[in-house]
Amino acid sequence: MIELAPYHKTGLNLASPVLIASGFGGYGPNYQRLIDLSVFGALVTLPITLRPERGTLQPRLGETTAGFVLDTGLQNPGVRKVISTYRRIWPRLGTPVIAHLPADQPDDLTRTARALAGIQTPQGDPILAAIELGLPLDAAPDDVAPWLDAVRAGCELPILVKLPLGGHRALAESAVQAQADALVLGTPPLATALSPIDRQSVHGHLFGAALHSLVHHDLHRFKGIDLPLIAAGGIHSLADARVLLTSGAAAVQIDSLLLRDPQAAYQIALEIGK
Amino acid sequence: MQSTQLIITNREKLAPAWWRLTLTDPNESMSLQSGQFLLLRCADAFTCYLCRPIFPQPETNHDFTLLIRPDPDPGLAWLATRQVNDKLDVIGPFGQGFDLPNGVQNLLLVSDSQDMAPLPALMTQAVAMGLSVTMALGGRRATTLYPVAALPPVVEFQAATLDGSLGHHGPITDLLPDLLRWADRVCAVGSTHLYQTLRIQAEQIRFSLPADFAFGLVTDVPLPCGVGACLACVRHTQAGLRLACIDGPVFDLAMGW
Repeated sequence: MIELAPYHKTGLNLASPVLIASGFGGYGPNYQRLIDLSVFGALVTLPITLRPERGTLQPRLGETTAGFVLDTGLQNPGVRKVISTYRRIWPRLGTPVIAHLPADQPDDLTRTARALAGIQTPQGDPILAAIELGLPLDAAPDDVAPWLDAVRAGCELPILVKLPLGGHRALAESAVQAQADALVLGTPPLATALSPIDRQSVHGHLFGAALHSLVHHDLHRFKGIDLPLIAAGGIHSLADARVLLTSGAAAVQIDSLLLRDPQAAYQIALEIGK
Repeated sequence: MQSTQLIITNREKLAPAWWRLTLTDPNESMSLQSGQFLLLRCADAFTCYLCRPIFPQPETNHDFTLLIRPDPDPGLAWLATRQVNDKLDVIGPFGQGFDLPNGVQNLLLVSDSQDMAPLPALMTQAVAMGLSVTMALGGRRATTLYPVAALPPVVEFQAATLDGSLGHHGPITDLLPDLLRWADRVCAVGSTHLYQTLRIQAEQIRFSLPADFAFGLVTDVPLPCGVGACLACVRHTQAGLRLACIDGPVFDLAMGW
């Protein structure tokens, strides 16, 4: 067992340090028929916002060497629809669920967090294990506390703050000061690639093998930060995961490997969890 | 839905630019409907990171056939070099395929694309069910069309080529009005332009495009995950957002294109 929110009153105690990253496990049940999700410490959902978002038009995906660029424009059906669809599914997934909330207007963040925290088991326990707050790539250190306060005003769940990869250390320090419970490293940089369908340029977040070295680098840069660090991105092998875990990560999140080889993602979680 | 390895047990040249692979599932556990897809993991993640959707056609409980041709896509180009006894890592099946319910009598299969892989198997299935089948294929020139010699004699074949080298001289959509009067089911694989024209012409002939009449397989969005997890394949339709990997890739054209 690992503890990812040691300073939170209820903590975030997970059975495995291998999680599924936001954007690659859907809202939970998507991969259930292919792999046993119970080997993962938790699953982080696709983004959830207060109101539905239609997302970007096609093309959304461009392939790069050893990776791809993806831009969904935060497409999601809105928190009300997410809750009505998944509130009965999440408790049966076999793994804890962490809701990913992109940074938004503080009032909207509060209302979204409150709605999610309001879904409870018959025993009155929250169904969700934590909130992951995604910061935009251009977030400034002063922005962090208002967003964290907004989420905290809506729920008492542990809050993981997902930082932009390569972001300034001051951003991480401001998250610590604003009493984040853990830091996720992090949101990939923007990139451009050609759509394989129509050869149009697609601008979006970069995913693939290259991210591993960026995450590894951030782990070294953020040494000494007094919060659990969760390394998210670019893991394609057991060795990749172990390098990050021995370089200071308390846990890792697997992302695009799920698209390339879900069975390999499962095997990594299985081996690390032993 | 599963991860498995299919073995290439035969590689047959149908025409200068067409091969047919026979794929065997040693576990005999995969059940596939025409129009559903598998995700193929290409060996080299450096040049081809994402899995490629392929549309094998069920032949027996454990055999599938797959049409291939030269393709600029690195993943499909890799597939085109596979030989007998090579193994293919696949995941699936995914999505909604073509359906041939009871009551259908006149089936029109139409394509303006070389990526018309699901249609031959649908043709075989329809012939076995005793349906009247017309296959209408359009392309730039005769050599880009699925080889006529591979069609059974009971199937009516209509061709249209832009250079006039086979059949009607012009686009395949020129032939649609007569064919749409005859058909009571249309299954199409091709471009968005084909689907839009199908819709417009069907509305002119039948006054409206009824549901459950014309179906198209989307080829203009990527299908990287197959399970609706990544949202890369979303289509904005008149009926709202639809995921091609779960709600499709075969869609009722009455839904709005």
